[in-house]
Amino acid sequence: MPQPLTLVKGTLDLLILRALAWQPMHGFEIASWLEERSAGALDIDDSALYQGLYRLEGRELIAAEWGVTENGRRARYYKVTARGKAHLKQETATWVRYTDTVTGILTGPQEA
Amino acid sequence: MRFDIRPRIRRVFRLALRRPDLSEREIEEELRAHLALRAARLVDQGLTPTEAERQALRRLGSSWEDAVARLHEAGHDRDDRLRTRERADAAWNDVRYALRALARQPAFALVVVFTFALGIGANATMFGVIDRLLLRPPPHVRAPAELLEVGRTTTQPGIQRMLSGLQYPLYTRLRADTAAFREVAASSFITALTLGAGAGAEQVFGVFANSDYFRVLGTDPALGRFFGSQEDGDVPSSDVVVLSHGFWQRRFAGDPSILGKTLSVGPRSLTVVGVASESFSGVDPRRVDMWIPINQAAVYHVALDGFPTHWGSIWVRIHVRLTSGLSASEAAARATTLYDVGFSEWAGGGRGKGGFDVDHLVLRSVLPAEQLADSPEAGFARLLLAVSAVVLVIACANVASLLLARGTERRREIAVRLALGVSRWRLFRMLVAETIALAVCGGVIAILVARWGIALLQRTLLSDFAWTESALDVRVLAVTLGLVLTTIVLAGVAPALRASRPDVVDALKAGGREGGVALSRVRSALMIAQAALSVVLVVGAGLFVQSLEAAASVRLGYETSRVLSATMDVESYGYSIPARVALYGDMRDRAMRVPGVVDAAISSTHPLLGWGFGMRVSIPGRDTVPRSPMGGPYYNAVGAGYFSTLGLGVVEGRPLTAEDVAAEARVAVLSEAMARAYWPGERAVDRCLLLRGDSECTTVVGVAADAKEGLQPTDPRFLVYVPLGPRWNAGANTLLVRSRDADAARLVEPLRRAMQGVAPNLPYADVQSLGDLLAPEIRPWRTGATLFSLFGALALLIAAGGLYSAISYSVTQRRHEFGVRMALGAQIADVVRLVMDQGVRAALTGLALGSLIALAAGRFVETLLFQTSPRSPSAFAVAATLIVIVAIAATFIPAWRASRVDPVTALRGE
Repeated sequence: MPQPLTLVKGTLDLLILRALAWQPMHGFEIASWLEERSAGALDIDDSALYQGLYRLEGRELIAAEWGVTENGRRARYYKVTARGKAHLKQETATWVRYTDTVTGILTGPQEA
Repeated sequence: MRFDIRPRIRRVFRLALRRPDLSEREIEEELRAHLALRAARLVDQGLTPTEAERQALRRLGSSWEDAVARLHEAGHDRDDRLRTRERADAAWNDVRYALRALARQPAFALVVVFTFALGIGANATMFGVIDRLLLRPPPHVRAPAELLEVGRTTTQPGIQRMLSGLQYPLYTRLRADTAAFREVAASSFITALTLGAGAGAEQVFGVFANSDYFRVLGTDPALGRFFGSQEDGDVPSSDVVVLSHGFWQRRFAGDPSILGKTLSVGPRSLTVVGVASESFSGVDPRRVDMWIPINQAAVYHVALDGFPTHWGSIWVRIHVRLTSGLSASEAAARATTLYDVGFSEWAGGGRGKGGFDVDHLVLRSVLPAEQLADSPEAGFARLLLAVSAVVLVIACANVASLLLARGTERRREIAVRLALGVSRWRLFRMLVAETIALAVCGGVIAILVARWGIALLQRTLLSDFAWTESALDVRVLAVTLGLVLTTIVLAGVAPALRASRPDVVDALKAGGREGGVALSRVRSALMIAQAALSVVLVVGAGLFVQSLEAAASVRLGYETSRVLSATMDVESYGYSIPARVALYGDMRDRAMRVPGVVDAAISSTHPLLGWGFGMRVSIPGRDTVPRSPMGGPYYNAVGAGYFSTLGLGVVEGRPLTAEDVAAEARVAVLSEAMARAYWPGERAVDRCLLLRGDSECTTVVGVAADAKEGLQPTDPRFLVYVPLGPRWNAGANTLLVRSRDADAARLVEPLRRAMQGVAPNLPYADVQSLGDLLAPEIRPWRTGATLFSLFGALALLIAAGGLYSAISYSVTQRRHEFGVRMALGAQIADVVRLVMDQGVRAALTGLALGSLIALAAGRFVETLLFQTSPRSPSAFAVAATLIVIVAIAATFIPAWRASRVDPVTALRGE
């Protein structure tokens, strides 16, 4: 198994928003969702995840309220706000354009 | 009990969407939940519970405490950001809410905005003027607080003010005393000079200054240089001139190649050597066009020949900077000693000889606050500032009253909001936001008002001041902002506090009607205050109008509106006395041919400028003759037609004729006061007088009405009119012209052209109607009357609006009550009287209060009035009548509306 990838700066916020675009989740659910989706290829520190959540909340891209899990535990559930949805859409487009460009350069034909 | 309101509802009602801060406990709880879930997952994957917990914790960071600490920090950031955003949102919401609320009542908003605009604008205007006049140090003067002017006090009774003219040799003595006076500068007062000659001649204002003058004041030239020591010699050989920046711009469009050019100023050609800094005008704010070396002063007849050693002429202003450590009073004592020694050496005896009555010398700061402190302009500006402050207070009282009424009207709305959980603080903010929006709009318009107002005052009241830049500047804007904030506090806070604190249950229950409350006590007090302050202003207006009438109706003994005077300073051009008489004679002939001129005469003195020549008079057979407190007797040598030109009545005998003048007859016309004093109860005509020690009789041929030289009441002069001729060593100095039309000003230019054409290269002919010459004397009262009336009318209008809105509001609130009254058989007149009673009573209370204030404040304006007592009954009567009429007018309409209430509708409207 290859070494897990460290996150490029700023992508965690985008990933969290993407996770929550699916449905409201609590912190551990987000972590699990990201692990599943990346098949363990991304190394996300749990504490960094929560810092990211608070940061997004501060920017009003997500909102949180206390709820109860399936197992009857109290947990803070996060959901994307309208502003968060717009942000995700825009940033995703930027991200795709960016990676396409970088990929194109990196994998393009080499000059002799 | 606190019940949750769903966010959507909160949003609809604009309630706070407050997100609670994250508590430490919550952060830990969230982390614990996470750890438990993670550990459970790891156990599912086959780890032992202890190993799972260890791994879960490791994924969180180095330690539990560390993870919690990091998240706390993130949590704080989140809270801060949310709080800031929330505040900004809330403020924006408040503003939007306020604007929407105001848009629903545009008339109300408009009234308040204009009330504010006028109130604030009037104050900003007054501040702009006062700031320029009194608060700022003279521009381009180094360390102005240290610069002192030497002045003298006089022993003459009744004159308290410091006088600043001194003798030139005193300057020399002060300059020699370097132990006390580090720097000394000499300059003249501002003098009218002629620029150019003949038809192109114009009048300019100059100051004669020595080379130290600019250095002591500490200014630098904008172009070229100031005077050097080569211009300080006692010989008048330095034909150079320094221009003021304003004059250079105005006259030469800022031509950079002006240096080295020559200007014909008076009898000389002067080379321009420098241009002063922009807006530098010496220590005075008055306009100066140029500076000329002081050794030229005698050439221009500003000083006598031999002035450097002559103690007999008072004309120099001396500015000093003291050696450090010396107090102004010590220096003044030294200066007094130097004066005494110098003067007695010159006069060969004690001081006081020469008639200057100098008591002692004093040193006074040149800061305008002290320089102009006792000038009439400053007193006036201060008064107007006080008046405009009163207008602003009235405006604030009015707006406060309107807002109070609005608050009461909105009790239900406010109560609903409170019931829904809006905090009182939030509600208070929303209400104050309205006042802020109104005051800011008012402030913006106020700036326009101030711009216009300052320009108007610059043109009228303060036209002879050197205003080179707009007086509407950062300082005025800052004050306007301050005034806006003040009005917000004065007018907005109290009503908002009151409105945000209604009793919720009562307000909701009462069905939106104020049960039985006629007018709140606060609103009545505000109405009374407005009325009282209006009374004060109207009384002030009355006093100034009376002063103006008194000043305008002063009988000088001759006509001022139809008569023009023309003077020309030909003395400095080397015209001898006979040449002057001949020149003025030619001018008279030319003037007579100008269309619209019906009469003209020359004379040796100007009727308004009072150049008097004293002489000894005796009567054969009498040891003494009666004396006048005005001194004299004086003589005025006049040409033919003098009396008819001026419209000066000859009450006995005949005027002087052309034959008298041609023959140099020994005849005279006496002023009435003199004739009556010399021969009480008898005819003066045909009596014999011995003039100037003559042995030959001069026969009195007529008696003329007493002529006054100005508006201020003085005893009439003893004046002898004699035929203008070589025997009277007076020359001709003035041409008087009588216009056919009442509008004499139309003749000014034609006359000037006629006069300039009499001989080549003549200096500027100063032609003005006597009315215009008197205008500056009347101006304070004219301006006072105009501005006071304007402010008074403004105050009355605002107060009337306030009264009207208060009464109509109370009528709306009491519709039900009036309905009941009408249903029970009350007559229209009863209801009208009932309603009007409130307003008129408030007005009468205000009248009483205002009259007391006006009586108490009277002594502050006493010195600014003309022959009018500050307790003038007619001014108070006018104010009383006006305020009662305004009160009746303002209350009648709402009262009439109250009486038209249909009982059925009013009672059904429950």
